[in-house]
Amino acid sequence: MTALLDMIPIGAEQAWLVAALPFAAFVILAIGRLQILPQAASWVSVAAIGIAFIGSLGVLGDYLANGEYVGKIVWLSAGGSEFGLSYIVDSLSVMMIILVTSVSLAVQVYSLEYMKGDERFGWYFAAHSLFAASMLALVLTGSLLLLYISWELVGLCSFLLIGFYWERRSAAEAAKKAFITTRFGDVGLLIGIIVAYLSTGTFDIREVIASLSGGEAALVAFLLFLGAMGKSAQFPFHIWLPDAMEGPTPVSALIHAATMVAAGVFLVARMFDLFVEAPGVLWFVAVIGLVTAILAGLLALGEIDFKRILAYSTVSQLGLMMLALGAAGLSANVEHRDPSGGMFHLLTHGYFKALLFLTAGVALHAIHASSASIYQVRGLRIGAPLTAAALIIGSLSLAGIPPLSGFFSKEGILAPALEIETLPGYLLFFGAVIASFLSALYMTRLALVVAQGGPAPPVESHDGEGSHAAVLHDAPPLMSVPLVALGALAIFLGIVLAFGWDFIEFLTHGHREFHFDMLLALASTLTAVAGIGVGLNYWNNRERVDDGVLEAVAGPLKLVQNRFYIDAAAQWVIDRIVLVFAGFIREVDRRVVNDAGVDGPAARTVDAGQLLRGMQTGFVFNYALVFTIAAVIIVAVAVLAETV
Amino acid sequence: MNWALLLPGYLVTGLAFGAFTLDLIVPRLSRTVLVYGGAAVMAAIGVFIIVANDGETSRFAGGILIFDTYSAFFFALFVILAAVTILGSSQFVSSIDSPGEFVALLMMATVGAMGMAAAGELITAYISLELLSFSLYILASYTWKERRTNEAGMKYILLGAIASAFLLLGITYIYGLTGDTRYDEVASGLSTLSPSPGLIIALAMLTAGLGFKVAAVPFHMWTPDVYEGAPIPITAYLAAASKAAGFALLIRLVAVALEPVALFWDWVFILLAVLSMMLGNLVAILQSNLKRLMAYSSIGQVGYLLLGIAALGADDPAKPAAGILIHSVSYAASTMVAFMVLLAVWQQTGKEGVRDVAGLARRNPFLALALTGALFSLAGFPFFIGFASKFYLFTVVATAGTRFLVPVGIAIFASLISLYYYLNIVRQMYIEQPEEGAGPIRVSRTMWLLILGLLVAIVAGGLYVRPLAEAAETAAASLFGGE
Amino acid sequence: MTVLEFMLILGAALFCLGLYGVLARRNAVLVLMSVELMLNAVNVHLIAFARYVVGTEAIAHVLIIFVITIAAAEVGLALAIVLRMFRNWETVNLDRISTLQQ
Repeated sequence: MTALLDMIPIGAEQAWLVAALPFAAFVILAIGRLQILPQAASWVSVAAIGIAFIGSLGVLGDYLANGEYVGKIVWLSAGGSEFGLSYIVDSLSVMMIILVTSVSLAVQVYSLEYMKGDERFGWYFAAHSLFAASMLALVLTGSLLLLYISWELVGLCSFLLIGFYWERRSAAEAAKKAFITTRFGDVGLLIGIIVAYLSTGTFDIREVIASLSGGEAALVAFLLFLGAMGKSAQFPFHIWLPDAMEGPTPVSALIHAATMVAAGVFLVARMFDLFVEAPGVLWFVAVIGLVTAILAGLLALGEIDFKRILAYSTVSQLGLMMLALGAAGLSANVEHRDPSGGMFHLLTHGYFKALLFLTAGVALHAIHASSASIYQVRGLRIGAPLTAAALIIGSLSLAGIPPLSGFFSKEGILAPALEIETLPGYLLFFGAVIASFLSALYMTRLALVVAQGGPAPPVESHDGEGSHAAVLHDAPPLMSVPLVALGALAIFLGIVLAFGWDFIEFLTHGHREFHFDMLLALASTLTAVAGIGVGLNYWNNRERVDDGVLEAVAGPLKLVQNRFYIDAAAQWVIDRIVLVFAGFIREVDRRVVNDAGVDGPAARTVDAGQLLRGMQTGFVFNYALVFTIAAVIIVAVAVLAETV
Repeated sequence: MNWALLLPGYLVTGLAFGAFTLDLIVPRLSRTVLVYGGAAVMAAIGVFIIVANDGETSRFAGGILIFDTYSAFFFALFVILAAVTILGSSQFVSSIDSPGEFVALLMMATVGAMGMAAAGELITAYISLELLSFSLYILASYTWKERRTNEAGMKYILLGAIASAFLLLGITYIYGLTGDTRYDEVASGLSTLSPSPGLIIALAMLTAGLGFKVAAVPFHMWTPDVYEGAPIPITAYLAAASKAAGFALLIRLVAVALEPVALFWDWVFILLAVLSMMLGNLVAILQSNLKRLMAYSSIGQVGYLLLGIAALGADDPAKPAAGILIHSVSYAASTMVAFMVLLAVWQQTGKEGVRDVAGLARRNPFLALALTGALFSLAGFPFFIGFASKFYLFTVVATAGTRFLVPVGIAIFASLISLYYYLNIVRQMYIEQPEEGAGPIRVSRTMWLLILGLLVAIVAGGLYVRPLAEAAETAAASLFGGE
Repeated sequence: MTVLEFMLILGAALFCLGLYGVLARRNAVLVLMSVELMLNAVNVHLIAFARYVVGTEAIAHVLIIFVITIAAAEVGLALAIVLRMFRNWETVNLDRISTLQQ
């Protein structure tokens, strides 16, 4: 296989091309949007991401053959110092570019059909390309500065895509919410980068990691983690992700699998050696991860919207990844302090979560709605067997049933907590087990209701066209191909990467190998089976059992339904503080700066510019006088300076 | 040997005379021939200059003209700027009586500018400068039936005459002190002199005369009035090419001829630089006429460039010289885009106020986008050429010596001030409503292509500035006989 | 007082006289004449330097010829513009003309 990879003409040296290609596609589409036919536009985008995917495989081949590579495109050299884009080709970035390009490719191919006929078809693909490009730049870059820029670009693209149907108020609101919520975390990231620069004098990621230690390392790590929390939707910033479902469904697949939310986890992994310097921060990471995982698991149980359940499941899985990363850094075995466990799960999760979202997309596409409760799309098995199968595979993989890919990576999530070998460590482990149990439970509920269930009731269409009987059917071929490909990955990727081609060894540069712990595997499988069993028992062949659950655990679940009031609180903060403040600034600008400084003749006195402007009388002899006086003053000052 | 560079000067002069003659023989000269032909030939000459330059240094007639990569760099810049201006005037020339003369004068101005870059001797430099100035005096008052334009021309020529008297006095004193006017002889003469009142007068007069040409505060007073009164294509040429020509002369003069006294004199340039960037950017905030606003903004830009001139006295003068070269190109390109958009708006509406571009994004999104790009570039936003060039210039100046740190700090502060009025224009275009009954603005295909080309250049230059930076570095190195 | 000193003082006096005229006169034509005076002051300087300080007289002579030529051209051009000014405003008084300001 390596020989095959070597044939691809893009190697580690040209890794920047992987990010540049989708960016070029974006530029072409954004500029030529009006000139190019939408259909052609979409193919430009798909071709770019396709070549980028092949290129990233080439980078992998080069990496396997020649090891790490740090490249730099010198952008400008001034006064002896060079400024440029440096990019790191190591196992982490190679893994990420393959994940991002492959998921983007699958999603874009899927979107060709899904978005067909949309009036902003071309724009959709342009934004999509930029999204992929900025995420690729984020994972490849070797500079914190560029990382920050692409980080913000990712945020911007998610804003554009979540608010894709901006005529719809809820979509606009959701986009705003996603943007502002993640911005809170970004402030931390920015300050962290500035602190790192001030204490090391460089933006280079590797140099920063190497030269920071002690308190400074802890401070920087903590600040960076704030950014990661925002992007990866960790408690209490998790509120934006479920609302992000307002965008087109393939966008959700992209956000949840490869771009956007993966960025936070990636950041922690990229800066992992810095986090290891600060055990306190690692505990913080692990606990936040755990809280998020359990909280989101509960929220998923209280939700009936198809895509929102998937969104909460993403939040909970991201929490588990954070937990694994934090715990891995605290491991009693120094050899085991690496981010491989969390990253393995990020990879497998990326594929099966994309799969799940795309199945949701098929269902929603079939009933022409942009969102639906799981009861509205029941009976997928009857009308759309392929989609139902994909859904079940994805759910089982997420639940962690062997030998699906989720099973192998879940082990990497659970093992680090045990290796801390202290009581709090064991508590973390049990927390993680509970979260896994919850995962199995909510996925069972989802799969059971949607795939099995009776015939769906008439659907209240969201576009207001009245109700009509939904006809669920499988997707056209163009949408099915990505489904099948991702389904195959969800089944086989884990076992291949565990036993066929050791992924852990790849990630840790051969320090470690994939270790199959029988006991842990058993525990993990039992948890999953228990979750599925409880779920089956509870939800099998019942109509709208949620009401029953509500009565049973009314109090806590009410809290759950209100999403722990966090949502309301955040909304309040955004509406009452951020926007009011922004409005205030705008008023200041409008009234004080603009009116007084530019328009208002009344307030023209104190301005420095005004005074200087007064010199410009318009009389030519005045100008000559100024000219002469200036020359005389220069002579006088120079002579004085010489004689004194 | 680099004698091929002698050719462009003759070619452009020949073209100019050709256009003069054609204007006489064929009174209603076809606009197509004149504008497209003229621009195409000028652009071809630009390409020829770039190809023909072999990197050698050739001294013409004992060194009164020097042909090296530095000259070639500016030759190409001036010829291309002239081509852009001619192309941009395609609609303007049909509204005037003798279009051939207009184009010919632009070409003569270009010859003058080229002479300023190549001059290796003070008399040649002076005559080239006057050739440029005279052409511009006529061009700036070209639509003389209009009072405003007439006034602008009057102010320009009267103040220009005074400035050239000062400059001549300075040249005379330099000659009296050193016995020669060739730059290298002047340098060897000056190196044996200790500072004296005579030398100070010489330097001050040169500074005043050339400060006028590049519009440095406090010798800038003519700039806003002339920019506002002159026809827009000429304002564009004044802002982009005439200013660059002034710096082309100034760099070689300061770096070669005044090299022995450059350290002694650098505080004057620092002072002019700081005054220029503060005054230019502060007063620009208050302007309501876009041409006038651009005039003040250009004064601010001159301040940044003058910092580079001041740094020429430092250990490694090639670096600041390269910085000035890059920023000159970047400034010229960005400012051209801005003026071409103003020209397009003016041609349809006859208006040029800040308020008159309100809602431009709705009236013509392309023009609004182009103007936004140009202003962002001038303000120094990342990913436009203005950012790269400003960054380069400030870095090389700041590393030239500790005494430049505070001026560079002020320059960065001044850039922040400039953001205010640039963004104000952008806000007008995108947020404010257009006037009642203001229809869409149409752009001719020529103009559209021209603006698009320049816009692509400033974006491409911002994304990948290395080719330009390397060209400028080679050019700057050739000044000092290196490489 | 040597001849050189005398010539330089004469040149400086002429220059200042011209400058005074430029600054004090309001009539555009008189301003132009004052500029001529400044340029001639430069010529006086040049002759003095060429004859009494340095041996390279040819340079000075060349420069003087150019200065005279350019001054003539400048005045011709400026007078044309002043003539236009008279047509437009019916005055050549510079303190009447300041539509472009601030």
